[in-house]
Amino acid sequence: MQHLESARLAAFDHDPFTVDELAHLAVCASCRTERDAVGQLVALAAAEGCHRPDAEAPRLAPWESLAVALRREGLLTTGEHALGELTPEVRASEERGRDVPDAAPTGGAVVLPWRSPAAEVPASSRAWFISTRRAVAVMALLAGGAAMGRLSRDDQTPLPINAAGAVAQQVGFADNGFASVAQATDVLNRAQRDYERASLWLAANDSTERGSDVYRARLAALDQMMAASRAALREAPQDPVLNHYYIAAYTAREATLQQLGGTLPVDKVIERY
Amino acid sequence: METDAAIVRRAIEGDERAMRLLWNQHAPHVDAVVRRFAGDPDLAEDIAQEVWIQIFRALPSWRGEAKFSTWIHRVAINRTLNAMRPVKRLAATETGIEEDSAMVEQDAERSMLARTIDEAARKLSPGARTVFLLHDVEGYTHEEIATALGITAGGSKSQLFKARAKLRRLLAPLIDTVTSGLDRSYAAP
Repeated sequence: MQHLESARLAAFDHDPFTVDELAHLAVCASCRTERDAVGQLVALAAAEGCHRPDAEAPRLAPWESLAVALRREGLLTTGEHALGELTPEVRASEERGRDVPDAAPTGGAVVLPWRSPAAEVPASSRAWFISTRRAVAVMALLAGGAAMGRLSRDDQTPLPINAAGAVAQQVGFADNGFASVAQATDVLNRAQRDYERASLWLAANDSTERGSDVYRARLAALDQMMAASRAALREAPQDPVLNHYYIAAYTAREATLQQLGGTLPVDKVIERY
Repeated sequence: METDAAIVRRAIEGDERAMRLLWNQHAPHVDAVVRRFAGDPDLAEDIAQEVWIQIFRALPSWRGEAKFSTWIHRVAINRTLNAMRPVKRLAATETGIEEDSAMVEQDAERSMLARTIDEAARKLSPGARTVFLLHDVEGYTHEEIATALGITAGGSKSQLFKARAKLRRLLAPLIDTVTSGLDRSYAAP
């Protein structure tokens, strides 16, 4: 008898072998080996189905873009964005989804969660947009801090640094202080996200034209901020707040440089400011 | 701790926090399903969002008879297959993969051999891959596969056996039962 065909051997668990086939298998080591190999394959495949998925793998559909699509479909009707009540594991998982630059919807467009579907931007603009978002966020942070300072004092003298805690209490998110580091971190993260959302809205909707002087002044201020935070980091290199400030200032500076470049004639480049 | 049923109920009502919680809990699993069935990373990214939308749309059909994780797994498979269908990516379902000669791989072909089931399955035609994954990996019956893919149960079996035969060759290093130099096609009766 001729060797059993591969497809026949592959059907070993579907169609019982005939008497002739069994007789051949009894004397043919090659066919037995092939049959056993297919059996191993089937066992491997079944085991594959039981594997736990890799929780660390980047998300295919980041929540931000998915939320926009769900809202467009009418499936998502509330606007809750706070992460404060989620577990650290969930937040970490969400961050993995957010950090995947290529996991955006197709068509070369990136759907941003805080914008309407019509406000999609080309992928090529994404890096610039993110930089701008960060820049605007840090500026909003600074502006917000300044506004809080003004509101909390009758006179217009600058607040001393050590008064920051008092300002925070006056705006009311921590009447009795925080119960834990985690709680304070949650509030900080939530505030940062709210700033980003509000800032982005402003970036998208504030059409006020600004001259290059505005950007030059901002650059000068950001340089001072960077110098100050860099000096502080030499004293406390592990401090997360200082690191945030430094990175935010650096990002804002880069974005502002690009904005300044956008105000210049096409044949001009920035040499100094 | 909130039960799956309570979270799903809120998600059906459009509560973002509940929807996001479901996404957080099940995204690794759903992503794995999409990646496996899509076979191609770019295609997986293309269809993942649509799959999730369909999952959320299907939430009211979960009656709580099965565990939610089981339900979402099945829905993810079905919706992934649906998402692939409009672009004709399953067009080859009923067409046979090339006939296996059952020859053992030659040395020159060994570099083409796969190291994992998923990697090997990507070398199959879309239809054969889908049938193999549904039957041998996911445990679907041929009748279920026939319904899901719009083919006959016999067609599903045929695809499966051919897929297995090809995978057996592709996964020779993994299975480690290759008999070097044996040409079974020309063996004497």
